[in-house]
Formats: sequence, structure tokens, C-alpha cells
Amino acid sequence: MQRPIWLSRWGPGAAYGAAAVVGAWAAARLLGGDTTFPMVQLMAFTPYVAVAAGLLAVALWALRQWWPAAAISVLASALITVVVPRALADANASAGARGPTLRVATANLFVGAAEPAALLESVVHLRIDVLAVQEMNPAWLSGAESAGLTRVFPFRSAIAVEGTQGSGLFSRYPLEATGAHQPVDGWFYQAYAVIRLPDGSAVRVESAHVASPYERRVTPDWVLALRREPRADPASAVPRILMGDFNATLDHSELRKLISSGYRDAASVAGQGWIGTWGPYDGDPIPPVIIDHILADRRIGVKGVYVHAVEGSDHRMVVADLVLPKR
Amino acid sequence: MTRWQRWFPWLVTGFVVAWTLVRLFGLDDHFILVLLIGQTPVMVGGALGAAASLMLLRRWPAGTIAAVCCVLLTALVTPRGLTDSDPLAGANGLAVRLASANLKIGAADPVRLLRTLTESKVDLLAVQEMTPDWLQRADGAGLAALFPYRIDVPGGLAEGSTLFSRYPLLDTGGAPATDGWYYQMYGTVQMPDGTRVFVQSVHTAAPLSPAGVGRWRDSLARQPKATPDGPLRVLIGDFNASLDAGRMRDLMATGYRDAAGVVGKGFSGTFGATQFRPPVVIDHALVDGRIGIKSFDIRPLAGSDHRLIVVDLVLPAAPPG
Repeated sequence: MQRPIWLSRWGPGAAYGAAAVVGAWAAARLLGGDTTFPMVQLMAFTPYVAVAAGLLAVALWALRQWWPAAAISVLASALITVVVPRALADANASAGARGPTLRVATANLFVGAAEPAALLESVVHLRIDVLAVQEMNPAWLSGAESAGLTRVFPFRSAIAVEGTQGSGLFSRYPLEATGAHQPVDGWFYQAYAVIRLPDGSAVRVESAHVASPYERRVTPDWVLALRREPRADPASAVPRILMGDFNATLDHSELRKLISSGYRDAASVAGQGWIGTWGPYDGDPIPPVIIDHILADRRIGVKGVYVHAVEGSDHRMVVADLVLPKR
Repeated sequence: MTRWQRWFPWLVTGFVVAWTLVRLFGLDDHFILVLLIGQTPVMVGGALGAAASLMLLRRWPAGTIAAVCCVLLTALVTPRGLTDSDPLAGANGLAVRLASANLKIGAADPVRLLRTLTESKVDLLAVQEMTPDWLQRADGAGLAALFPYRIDVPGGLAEGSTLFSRYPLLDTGGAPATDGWYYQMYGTVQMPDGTRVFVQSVHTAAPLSPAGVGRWRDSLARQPKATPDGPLRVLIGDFNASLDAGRMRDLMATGYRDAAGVVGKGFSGTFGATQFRPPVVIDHALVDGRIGIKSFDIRPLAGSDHRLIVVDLVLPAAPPG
């Protein structure tokens, strides 16, 4: 078959160029180097690059561009190897935990734009025990209160702030040691509390919201914020759940460091780690990325993870069925 | 190009691909495969060599597929050579040092073994292939002074796997690992602060024949599963299986961590170094996920074809009161 002129002229150069791009990407993902602008922003799309590189390798094979085909095949298989496990359920998802079950959820309210009545309706329908929210403003809180928030969740640890900084935890079960802190000055608050369950067991929950790396200037704040997120405390009798909008995917080394302090990412454990939580949901032309997470102490079992739409928000709600260790 | 020249690259690549698939999907519990799969770390080099030579010979498709397999195998075996992010698992209780020795049907030198154990301040020793004669010689060398507590292998029988301890052993017992195979004795170690740890001296059947693979599979399947919300358990001994054996990974998935792999010592060969093949890693300490791992080492074991493994653990703190 005769190849078109443009393919013969530009094809080989483009193939080598693509190999260089995939190589740089794989180096940033595997060797670190993902903590500066614009790698932070790009790294969120690693699963797309892994799949695209795989397809590109097949195409280059068909075109008999052997050198770039070989290079991209190897790089693509390395990238696919790192992104696939989050889509496979862990063998030890239950972690042997046999205590009370807890259905938790996290939702970014998009500066209070999420429709409060609709969100409450789905939270009631789903029988959520503990809801963590981010970007809660006073208008949303009063809207939710008129829609029956207090009836659904008698207990709360919440700070409503104009703008994006507000944070909240709403619970069916009593909360102790409530409060909120700001890991990085000028950025988001994070509400926290210890939940006391009917059998007397306790779990510390925090609504996480990591500074968003929306441009070069603030990217160092994102690094700082992730480093200041509370680490797991595997020696403590009170296990931790840290859930919210991390503005980071599992392809960001700073998030992986946070998780490796002793958490597990609930979605990865359940094999649901490829479901988008932010991106196109309020009309932006951004492919879905997975930046909302539920990190649970690794002694906590994970029975299931589900993702639901939130009317009015650019994020979706992540729900996890957790099993606490027996007291 | 002759027919042979056309097919040989695919023969090489087919072998690498088959190995990768067997390893990836745990299809190794058949005779020969289970022995081969223990050499998976060596196969990483094999796949790399195959990929490089095929590409140098400009056999691109075959070379590329071998290279992809090399990446996958590397991803599967590398973690055991790297220290985990959280080896201590939050454990902050008492430290305890365990060792395990396969005595090669009593051929290991008891005097030199006892010297090593004394110098290393080992708290608990698991042995496999112990004979009555070996026990007599070890007692003559002072075994009972070092480890006041022990579990007798029943029946006056020949070779068995058992435990010797500085700390009291409760609820002891044992049974053959599978029908007609060596005894495996177990007990619960009572630490000075009251913490209790179930320990079993493991010796699974050797998969050296088709029938042996059946016994091997059965003896691995009968090993106590981890109880992550119940008692702390440690399985230590000769598993006749590397971390690349699918049934070994099944056992670990119940909630054990391989002590060597956690601290990046998962490539230290424990058996067969003296023979005409690379050593394999078949002696392990599998410990409950709540137990911390401080270190893992292998030491010489004079007279045996295995080496001594020594592991430092940190137990979770005893519950108050």
C-alpha cells in the first residue's frame, strides 16, 4: 500500500517526538518530578496517557516504525502497570475488620452551588451516616437547614465561609472533639471530629481540601498542603478517615506519600479507582479526573465505593461502605 | 531467511510471554512450573536479554513483546527488594527476634547454630527436619539453657518442625502439614507484657514430582490464615515456595506480610546456593499485618542446604489493663 506523502515525510519524526513525550511523562510519574508546574497539572491525566500510548504503540507497529514502537510499547506497559491496580479489587479489602459498618460520603459543593435539597435527598436515599463537604458557604448551609439537614444529621462540625474556604462534617452519630483548621494560611478550612458509634468505638474523620494548583504561582501551596494533611496514625486506638477533595490523583507522588503513612484509598481497594470525580460535570471541556478520595486507616475494611452526581457542582460525590475494626 | 530463522525469535518471545502469564495469573501450581516460577527474578534478566538481542537482530515485533514482558516482570518482583513505606505498621510494643532453620534431616551443626543464636540473642527458634539425634546433640550443646520452652514433636517420630523459646509457649499442638508429610508444631508465645502471638513452624511438602505438587498445594492451603481482627499470627519456616508462587500469594492475601519483602530483603536466597542453580527464596516469615518489621537477615547454617533466617519484629502494644 502506498503511504501518503505527508506520512512518509512527517511520520517518523512525529513518532520519535511522541516517544520522547511519553518517555518524559513516564520519567515524571515513575521517578518523581511531579511536584512543579505544569507537571502537577498534567500528571492527573496519566491514565489517559497510558491508554493513548498503548494505542499509539499498536499504530506504530502497523506502520513498521520499529524503534519508536518498541520504546513506546515499553513505556506504555510501565504506565499501564502503575494505573491498572486501582481498577482491581484488593484481595484483603476487608482487612479482617468485623466492627460496625459506616457509610461515608464526600462532596465538594462548588462554592455552595450544589443544590442543597437534591443533595440531601440523595444522602437520605443512600442512608449516608457521615457526610463531608468542602466549599460550604453560609447560603448553602441555610438552604440545607431549610431542606431538613438537622433532621438527617443531628450532629455537625462545620465552618461556613463566604467563598471557597468553608468545610463541614455532618453525622447521624454523636461527634466529639470537633473543630476546624487551615493547613495552609489563606486556603481551605478542614472540619474534623471524632465520631462515637453506638457500640462505643470511635473513629476520627476529617473533611480534606487541598489547595488547588490552578496556576504556577500557587503550585507550591499545593505541595505544602498535601504535606500538611494529617498522616494516618496506625498505632492509635482511634483510626482515621480523611476524605474530601485532594486536588490530586493517585499519580501524584505527594498523595501517594500521604496514603503510605498507613491509609488505604477506598476506591482503589474496591477496584473503583477509575471513576472520574471532577472535570466535565458542570460543562468544562476537561476529561474526568479522580481527585476526590476517601482515605481510611488500613485497619478499616472497605466493602464498596460508589460515585454519584451532585446537581449544581463540578464535583461528584464519593460514597464508601467501611467496616471499622472490632472494639 | 530460513524457516528456522523466522520462527526462533517467536520461540524465545513465546517462552517469555508464557512465563509472564503464568506468573501474572498464578497458574504455577503444576509440576515443573512451580519449580521454574521460583526463578522469576532471574527471568527478569532473561527477558531483558531476549528483548535486547532480538532488537539487535532487528526482530522488532518479537523483541518489543519481550521488552513489555520484562517491564511487567520487573514491576512484579521489584517491590520485594525495596523497603515498604510503613514497615513498623504503627506497632510500638515489645520487640522479639525470631529465627528459622531447616536442619536438613538433622545434618546442621548444632554447636555452631547455637553459637549464632546466642550471639544474635534470638528469642524464638523454629526448626524443620529435626531428628531425635539432632535434638540430643543440641541439648548436649546447651539448647535447653538458651530456650527453656519447647514443643515436643509427638510419636517419637523422625523428622518434624517445632519451636524453641525463651518465653512460655501456651496452647501448643501440631499435625502433619499434609497426609504423610512432616509434623508442623505450633504454640502461642506469651510475652512478658501479656501480648500473645501464635507461631507455627512451617514445612510444606516439597513439589518435586507431580504427586508432590498435589501435597504441596494441600499443605499450603492448610496453613493457618491470618486473622487480622483476631489473634496475632506468625508463620515461619520452609514454605518450599517463593513469593512468585500463586498459592503463596493467596496465603499472604489473607493478611500476612512477608518480613523479608517488607524490609527490602526479598532477594536474599535461602536455599540451594551451593548447587548448580541460582539460590531460591523459599524460607519466609509471614507476619500479621499489625506486627512491625525492623529487620530481616540471612546467616550461614553449617551442615544444611538452607540458610538461617533471622527476623526482628515489633509487636503491637498490649491492650491496657
